[in-house]
Amino acid sequence: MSDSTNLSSASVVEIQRLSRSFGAKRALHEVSLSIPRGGVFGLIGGNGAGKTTLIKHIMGMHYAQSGSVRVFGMDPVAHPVEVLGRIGYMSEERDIPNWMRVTEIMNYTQTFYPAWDTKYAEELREMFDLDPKQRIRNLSRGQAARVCLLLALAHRPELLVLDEPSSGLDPVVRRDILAAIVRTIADEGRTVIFSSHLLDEVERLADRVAMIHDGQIILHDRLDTIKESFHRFTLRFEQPFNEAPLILGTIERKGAGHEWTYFCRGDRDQLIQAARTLQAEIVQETLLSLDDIFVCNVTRS
Amino acid sequence: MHTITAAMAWEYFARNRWTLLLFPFVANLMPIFVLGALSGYNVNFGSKEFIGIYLGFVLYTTAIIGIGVLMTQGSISRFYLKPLSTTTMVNFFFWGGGALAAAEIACSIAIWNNLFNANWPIAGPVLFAIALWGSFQPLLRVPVKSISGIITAGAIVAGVGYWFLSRHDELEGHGKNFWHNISGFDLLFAVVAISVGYGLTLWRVRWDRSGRQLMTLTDRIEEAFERWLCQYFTLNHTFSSPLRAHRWFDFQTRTFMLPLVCFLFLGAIWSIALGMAAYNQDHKIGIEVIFSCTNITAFAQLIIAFVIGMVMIQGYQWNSGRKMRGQDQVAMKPSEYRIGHYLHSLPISPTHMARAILQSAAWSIGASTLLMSLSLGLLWAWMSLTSFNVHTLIKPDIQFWQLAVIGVSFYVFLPFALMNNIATFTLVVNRQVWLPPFIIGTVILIAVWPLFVGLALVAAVLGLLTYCTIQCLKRKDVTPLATATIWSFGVIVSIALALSFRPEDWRIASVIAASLGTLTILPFFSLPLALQYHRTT
Repeated sequence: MSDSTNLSSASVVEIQRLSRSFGAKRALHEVSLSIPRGGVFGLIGGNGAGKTTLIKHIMGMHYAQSGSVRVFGMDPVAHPVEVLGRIGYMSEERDIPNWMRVTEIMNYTQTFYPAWDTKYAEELREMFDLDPKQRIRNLSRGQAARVCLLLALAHRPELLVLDEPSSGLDPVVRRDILAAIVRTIADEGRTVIFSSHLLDEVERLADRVAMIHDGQIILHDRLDTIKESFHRFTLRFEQPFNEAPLILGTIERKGAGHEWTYFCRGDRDQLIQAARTLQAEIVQETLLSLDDIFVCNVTRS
Repeated sequence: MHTITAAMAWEYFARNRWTLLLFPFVANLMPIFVLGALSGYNVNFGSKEFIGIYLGFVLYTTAIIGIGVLMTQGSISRFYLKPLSTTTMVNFFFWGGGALAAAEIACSIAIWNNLFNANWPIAGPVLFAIALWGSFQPLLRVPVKSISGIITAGAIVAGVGYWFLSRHDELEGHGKNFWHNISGFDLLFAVVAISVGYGLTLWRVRWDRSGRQLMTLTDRIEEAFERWLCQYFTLNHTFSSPLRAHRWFDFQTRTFMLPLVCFLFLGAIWSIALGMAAYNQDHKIGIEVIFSCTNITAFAQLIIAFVIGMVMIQGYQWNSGRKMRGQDQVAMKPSEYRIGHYLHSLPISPTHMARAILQSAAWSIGASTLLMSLSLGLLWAWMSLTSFNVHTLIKPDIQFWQLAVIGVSFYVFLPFALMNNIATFTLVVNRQVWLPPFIIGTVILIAVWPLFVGLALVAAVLGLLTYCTIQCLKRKDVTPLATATIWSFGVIVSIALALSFRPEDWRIASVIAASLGTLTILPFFSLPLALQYHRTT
């Protein structure tokens, strides 16, 4: 969360101390987040971590029980038309009216968006190989996802919000979705927020990442900064340990006897210096994948 | 759990604990309200004069309770992947649901009898409900395409409904009677209906579970119809405003059902009546059948309007209960809608969405009213051509304007209120501010003074209407001029309806008129708030 305040003036989404409960269940707790204009923002977290609840607050589908949410500088609950008109949204459920035909849902949805690009919509339809006369209920899961994506993209939104866009889809449809994200950010100044369980996707596309766990943001920064700040060292000590000594920034340590593997967060040089102070030899040093970082942080939390 | 059935029963009751109370409550609300109001006159509900009201309430309660049990049971297909025999799951849904519906109907009539000393028969309606339940199961347990479903449902309603009404001598025209004695034929009819229903349900579920699709003749006709629809009736244009687009959407999704069913009912009635008149070479039979069945169709509109209101809950998923999703039962948060994510992500304000929904309801009721008027107009022409004495159908002391006001009020405004007030009630239930004390207070006061139920309802609706109006004005959902116009309309409707009753009935007339007037204008103010609430829960 180091530079969130610096970017707030250029933020598309600004969330301050947002909390939300459903009965006794706490879904979000004191979440503060700033998403800058432009680029891809990945929201990652386990099942029930609060990703969808956070996205629904951005969409104005939940009012803030405490704290505040601003999208394009406006409260999405108070100004749904102004905010939603600039957002393209694809929900995890992909719950579009299944009695409509593809062409009907395109015509119906077009009415709500003055910026709808008919030519672009038609291009997308052809690219996704969607039959305009097919009813939605007769489409496969992947085709229905493509329709949702088309509806979210065709008005060239300033902000594209995709909630678990790849879940349950085959690699071909996932490729379409990822290509759509890339295409959207190719348009200058546009922003993509997407939540996913598939961390390799996030790693490939996101510029910035927020990790959410148990309703709290546990990590939020640029992806390269995050990746640079997590390290895995395998250390060989002169004498064996039953429990290896802690060094600066240790998240987790595993091993036995002389050789121990440390998962650490912090400046690399400082970590190396700390290891040398303990008279340990660095046998191996690797950067952590986003997957490792996620597991490390969630386990620690 | 000792048995699979016990586990399924536990899951059913645990999942639906509140909804199971809601449907009998809604089913009993109107009968208790009307009977409570009437009981202030020391009338004898057991007399033949009240057989029409009794039949209406039995049909209404049966429909609401039946819909409630079906909705709470959910789809049988979610058990397909469980290691259960098809017979076990069909038995649970078929017999369990039927027993529950029958018990709820028996309890409802027993409550009316106890509260209002009505002495109405219970066994007949229960037998009718079980037969109707059994007959409908093959159609409902495995989804049937719309047109085939409507045709088959119409045939079932016509068959079982004819049997039920004929037991009260309602259709024969030689003096109406309560159905106190169940004959051997009645038992045989019910047993046959249930057995055939059970066998067909089992067969259809087995077929469906094994992944086979049944292509009936009507399905083939529908496929051809679908191709024709695709060619000529596909939406190929955009709309000039989001309001118009959403009005089209709501009409297509929900309210279209009312004129469609009305059209099918009236078409069937006219065909049967003309056939009977021609067969017997007697105009009187045809005219009487059309007159009484048109009234039944008008009454059926109320049930359809209720169903449309419930579809609003299903379609927009306005329900705080736990819902079914796919094969599994999952706990869902209040604002997770079936298509709600899509609908509520569209840039349309709740005010415009509410207006679109109200306009779609008005279109729908307008279309069905036109059909009913056409039917009555043709009937009037038939009577004029054959010099039929209209006073054999209508009592001579009732003026035409009184009939028109009562007809318009109950068959135009009441369906409108039923269609659009579901959202309002979910708003109240979800807010949970004053509903529990209101219900407890009402129950206590009804026990002491039955007429209070009517007054309590009027007071509650008036309170809610005032609250919603103030909120809407604050939020600028409506202009002061529009507010004044809508309230004036409500007052005029109430006064006109009150005046159409006999002067000596002023007490009941004022309660009914005020209830209907307030319920009719309530959605204009409550719907924008309810939509805003459900969108942003």
